[in-house]
Parts: sequence; C-alpha cells; structure tokens
Amino acid sequence: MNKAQIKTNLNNGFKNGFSVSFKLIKTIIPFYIAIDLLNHTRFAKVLGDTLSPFMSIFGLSGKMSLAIISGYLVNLYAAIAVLIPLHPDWKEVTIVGLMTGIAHNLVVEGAILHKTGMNAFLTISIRIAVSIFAGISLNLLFKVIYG
Amino acid sequence: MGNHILLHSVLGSLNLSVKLILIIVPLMISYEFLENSKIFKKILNFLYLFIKPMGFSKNASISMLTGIFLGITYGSGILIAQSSKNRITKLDAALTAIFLSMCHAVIEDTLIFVAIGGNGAYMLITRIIIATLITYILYKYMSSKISQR
Repeated sequence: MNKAQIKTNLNNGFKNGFSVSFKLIKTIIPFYIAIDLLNHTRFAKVLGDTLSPFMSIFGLSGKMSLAIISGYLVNLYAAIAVLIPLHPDWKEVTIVGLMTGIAHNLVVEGAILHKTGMNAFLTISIRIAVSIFAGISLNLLFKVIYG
Repeated sequence: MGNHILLHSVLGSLNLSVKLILIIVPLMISYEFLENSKIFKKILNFLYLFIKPMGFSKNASISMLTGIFLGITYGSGILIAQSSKNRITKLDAALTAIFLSMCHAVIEDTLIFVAIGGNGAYMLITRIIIATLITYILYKYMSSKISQR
C-alpha cells in the first residue's frame, strides 16, 4: 500500500465516518430527548408493563418495544436513540441490533425493493416475521450460552 | 424540576453524539483500509462460494455483494439495471431482492450497534445465517413451482 492510497483511505474513512455520525446524530438528538422525557411519565410505565410479557420472548424489557417499533418505521438511528436512555446491557443491544438490522425503514425500503419487481407487502411481511424469529432465536442462544 | 429533566436529556443526547463520533470515525477509517486491501478481494471470492448454492448466478452476485456491503439503494439500482438488460433471470432477481431486503449495508448497521455496546459477531453471523436460510427455502419453493409448470 503506497502513500497516496493511505491518504485516500484516511480521507474517505473520515468523510464516511463523519457522514454516518451526522446522519445518526440528526435522528438521535430529538428521539433521545423525547424518549428520555417520556420515560419519566406514567404512560411509559403502563406501556412497558403491558408489553413486557410479549417482549420477554426476545429477552427485552417492555419499554424496548419502542426501540423495535421506531426501527421498523424509521431507521436504525431512531432505534438506537430510543434504546440508549433505557440503559440496555450488551445482550439487549445485540438483540435489538439484530432484529432492527433485519427489518428497518420498512416503508421506504419496501418501495425501493418494489421497483425491482418484488411486492412491497411481501418483503415487509417477510422481514417482520424473520426479525421476530431471529430475536427469539438469539435470545434462546444467549440463554443456553450465558444462562 | 421540569427544566432539570430537560437539561439532563439534552446533555445525555449530546454526550451520546460525541461518543458515537469518537467510535464511528475510527471504525470507518479501518473499514476503508480493509476495503482497499488485497484481503478484501479474497473475502469477496469466499462469499461467492456461499451464495452459489442458494441459486445465485455470477451475474447476480455483483448486485448481491454491492447490496450487502453498500446498501439497498445501490444494490437494487444494479439489480434493476441488470434485469432490464435481461442479464439475470427472474428467479435470480427475486432471490437477490429477498436476500438483500434482510441483509444489506451490514457493515454500517453492525458498527453503529457495536458503537453502543452490542456484540458485532452475534449480530452479523445470525443475520447472515437466517437470511441465507430463508432465501434458500424460497429458492427451493420457487424452483419446484417453476419445474411443475
């Protein structure tokens, strides 16, 4: 690898790194503040308690359902912004990362995929089903490995 | 009291933003070095070994690899261009779209969750295994439907 290549790599890496970071921050700041404030309300407690039996199949707390839903509808940055104020451990981050990694930004990406000839409703349904299956599987795997 | 909570949230979100920049920029620089190294081509060839049994042709593998690494917009862009030129079959296009719907831009997606404390290997490997499995099932189902006709 010559000097010019190293310089190009550093340049592109910086550019990509900052562009990803800024995309992330633009979504994160409003979502983070909204969720952190919501977290202090009774509504969040009621919602968390209601959803916690369902979310336990993924090894997640009830409130983390908001992170999954934000990921499904908006994007991964929104999911992260919602997740962080809930103080997740590494297993919870990994499970949310896997589930929203498979299914995110569903409406926009469904429309993009529709142009390749794949029905948007079909890709969205498959992605949600697969993401739920993946979340359950990884949680089971974690239970087997880490107890 | 209300103001105190709001200030706390704003500071928390700024703190997270700074942390993310400090983690993501070096990660992206490292990825840039990997992408332009000789090992990367070997990784690509290695990957083709895996998508071949799923029914993909060598032509489809270009949009697959683009989509997996760069994202759905680029991947499906190449996919649309190739199917309009009839370079790939309908089955190829459908399988690529299904696989990419679940598995695209995997490096960036994984890195941002690693930045907040997730385990990258678990996320990446599970995602690829499951997407491969689902695509394979669809391949078997669709090719049996075609052969019945």
